[in-house]
Amino acid sequence: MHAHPGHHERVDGNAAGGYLLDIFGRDMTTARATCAHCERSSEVADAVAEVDAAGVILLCRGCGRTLLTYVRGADGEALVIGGLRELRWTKAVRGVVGPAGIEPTTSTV
Amino acid sequence: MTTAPLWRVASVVSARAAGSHGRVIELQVDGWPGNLAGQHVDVRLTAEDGYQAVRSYSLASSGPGEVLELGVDEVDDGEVSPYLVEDVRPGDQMEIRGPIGGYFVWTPEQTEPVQLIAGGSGIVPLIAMAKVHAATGSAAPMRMLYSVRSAADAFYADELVRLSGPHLTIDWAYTRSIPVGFARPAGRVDAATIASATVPPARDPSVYVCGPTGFVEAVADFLVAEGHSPDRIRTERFGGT
Repeated sequence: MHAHPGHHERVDGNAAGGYLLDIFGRDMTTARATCAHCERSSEVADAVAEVDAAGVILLCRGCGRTLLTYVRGADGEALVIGGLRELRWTKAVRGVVGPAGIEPTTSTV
Repeated sequence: MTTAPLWRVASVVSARAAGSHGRVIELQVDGWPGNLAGQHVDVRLTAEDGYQAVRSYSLASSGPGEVLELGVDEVDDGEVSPYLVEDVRPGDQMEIRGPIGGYFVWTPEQTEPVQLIAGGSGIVPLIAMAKVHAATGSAAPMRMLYSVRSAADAFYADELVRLSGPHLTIDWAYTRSIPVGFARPAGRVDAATIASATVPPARDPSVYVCGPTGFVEAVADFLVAEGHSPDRIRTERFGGT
């Protein structure tokens, strides 16, 4: 297990959705993330997340390696792509998008 | 896609006690685009010195309205929940970002059997699902297993009684103390509880599990051991113990 200073509750990738919404401008919780190390492919919501005021670390639930890290400080922000091989998403998944609202649930790509 | 503000101002409409150390808080959010049952928001509080804290909270409400409902359980030594549970008053303002999440969501278009399993304040996104299930007259069989320490710790106890009926069965599991006359002895949800009080795998239900991390992981393991396919189990951990 990783040990980090401060409060780093291990939760679901779903909890990182707010940060990812900020970065990508859309809800990424249903995007599929593929781990370069163990080849596991699953929805971002199903990854392991450590979230705090400074940012988020997204870890592969298969092998525990870091998929990506986002940190925010006084000098700016950084997105570090770790073991994330691919992030794949469709236009609308299960009728949910970001802050712009809810799209029809029948929408497919 | 229109551009919407990332953070919106939310004004507290009401706050009432829930469980033994929690609160249900209604927030008015002008321009809220609506949300699906199971989605969450990030809440941002800013102190007078500019210090900001952000936490995620599930919504107990869904649909197009501009009044959102949060259910918050106080976390000891937390930064945000003590304020929300102890101090917040009608008229207070905070900021929220969302709605977030397309994974831990139930919509009335789903017709398959549904099993909801909540631990403690993990009931919040699941009550949103149960409410929209009832409001839309969904015929999808829905069953809920709610694990709480004691009856006094339950969130939405009255609402759950009202919601239960032909299409929603509610099973309780008390971990510390049981109400008088309750058959199941106090204890954590275990394999026997899953076997006796949830929709069996043969009916291929969608299963939603929400609660503290340890609860969710234990329950998910029992479900898989019982024969549920891991890809039919959706989980939402909120940390803690």
